[in-house]
Amino acid sequence: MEFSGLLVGAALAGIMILIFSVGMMTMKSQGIGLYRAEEYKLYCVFDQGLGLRIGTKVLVKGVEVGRVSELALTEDSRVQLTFEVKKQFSPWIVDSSQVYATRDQNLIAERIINIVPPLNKSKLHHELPEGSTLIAGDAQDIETVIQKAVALLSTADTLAQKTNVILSNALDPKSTLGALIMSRELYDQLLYQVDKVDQITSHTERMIGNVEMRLPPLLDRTDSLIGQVGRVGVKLDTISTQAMGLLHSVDTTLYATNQIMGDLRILSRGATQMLMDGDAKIEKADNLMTGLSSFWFIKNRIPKTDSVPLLGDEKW
Amino acid sequence: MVKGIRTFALACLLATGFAPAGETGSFANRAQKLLANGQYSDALRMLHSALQASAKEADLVGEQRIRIDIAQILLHHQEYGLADSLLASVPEAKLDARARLTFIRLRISMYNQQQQYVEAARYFEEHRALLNDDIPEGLHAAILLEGAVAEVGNKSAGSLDTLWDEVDDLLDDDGPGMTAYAKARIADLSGSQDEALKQYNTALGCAQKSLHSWLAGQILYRLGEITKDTTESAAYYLRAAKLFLQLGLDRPFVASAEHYQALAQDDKELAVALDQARERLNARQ
Repeated sequence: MEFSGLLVGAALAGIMILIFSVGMMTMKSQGIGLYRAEEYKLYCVFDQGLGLRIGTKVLVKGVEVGRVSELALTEDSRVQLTFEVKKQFSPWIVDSSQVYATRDQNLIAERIINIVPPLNKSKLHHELPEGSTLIAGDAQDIETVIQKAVALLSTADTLAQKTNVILSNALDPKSTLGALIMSRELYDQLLYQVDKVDQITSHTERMIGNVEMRLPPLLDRTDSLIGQVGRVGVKLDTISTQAMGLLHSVDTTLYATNQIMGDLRILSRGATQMLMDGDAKIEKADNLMTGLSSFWFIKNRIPKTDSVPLLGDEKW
Repeated sequence: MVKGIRTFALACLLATGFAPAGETGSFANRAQKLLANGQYSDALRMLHSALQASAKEADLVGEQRIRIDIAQILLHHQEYGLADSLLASVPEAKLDARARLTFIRLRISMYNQQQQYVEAARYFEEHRALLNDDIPEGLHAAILLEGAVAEVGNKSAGSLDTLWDEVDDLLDDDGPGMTAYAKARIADLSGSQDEALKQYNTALGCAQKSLHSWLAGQILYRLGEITKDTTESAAYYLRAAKLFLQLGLDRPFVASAEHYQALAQDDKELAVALDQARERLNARQ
């Protein structure tokens, strides 16, 4: 009896030691409690903090190196993020590293913070000390891309309006007829504006191209997610309200994405049209110049064959 | 009868009015406007077109005038070798009276700019007899003023008083800028620095007012050279450099910017522009 009691006691003690060891190992691997890894703080300032929260993962090349520990608004209405990063990863976080907020796996996944080390390895990079601020890159998710596309196209629209104003001025003979005949300024202005519109449109089209290129894999992943959720539902044999809600969200997201792509195409078509308008405007200005030059009262002022001027002979 | 004469006169007037404009003149006039606007490269391109048009129209007089105009632009670029060879290709004897005098002014000016005062004075004396009352006052005065600078540079200023009298008669207080500029250069060459500074500043004001940008740049550069105070001198060089940069005149820009950099702290934008201008000059050589 005494022996069996001892045996039970030893077994219990063994189990407790085992549980304690497993617990300690887990704590060590998670870096919590006594085994909390040495960390340091870094900052980054973003335009938007949408989808970011305390606890958001911070990754370097897919490896989790820390978490977001604080979000705060700055005086100029931007968002300052504080990262707590494990000290052991400090060699990969240098002065020219860039920070992006992006989605981890698919369109509906949580956002993560991705620190991208510099591409140019031959250049000398300095490890960032505690309290440094990292360079914020543009967010690489569809919302931000679209926001930027819309902003760019609205700039393009403003420029096109300016081009219109220039042309209207040109058409007013009282104000700029002289300039039309004697100076290239009008043309240069017009060309400059149209060139800007062209640059912006190309930029936007490139961006849309990127979105189109990136979207199919994202959609594929979302599809497989739906499949997984469906399979889980079948296994459980009871589809909970939450799962239904999730499926509904996925569906809404896909629908919204389609809408967004449609909008982007329309915007792109608008920008292209604007560019074509710009071309047409230049041609019109050119025709106007030719037409006006043939009026007799202007033609009379155009020098005759034998009136080649000699430069710099006037009094001053 | 009276009605018939009136109709004929009106027809003649209209016919003159509707006379076709030659391409050569059209291009050359546009070049003149561009140059007045400080658009040197556009002006040069336009003159090139004028030169081609003159060949098409077999307009020999126009062609020679355009060559002279191009040489004038090359002088502003301080491309003396090119300007000289271009002027050498112009048959002086075949020029019309006005073009020939502009040619003479340009040659004296070119020698003076390179401080070749012996050649300038000699050339001026050789051609002085051509100056008569029939030529435009501005051109006449310009030749005399360049001649006066050449004479002082050559230390043969015996006829200087006569020259001034002639200039006064011609200009009659008109053209204060060109007179002040010549006086400044003469004072400069004679070592009267205070007078030179005063006259250069007067000339600078006139050049700015009459939009003679290149001349304004030349004056600023020279003010930079003769001003003793380093900060003031650097400021003049910087203004000259910025002006020449805007005009697209690389050689004068490089000279002004280099002087500025020697006197003042580094200006990053200027340094970049300087490197680019040097590259362009090297590519042209």
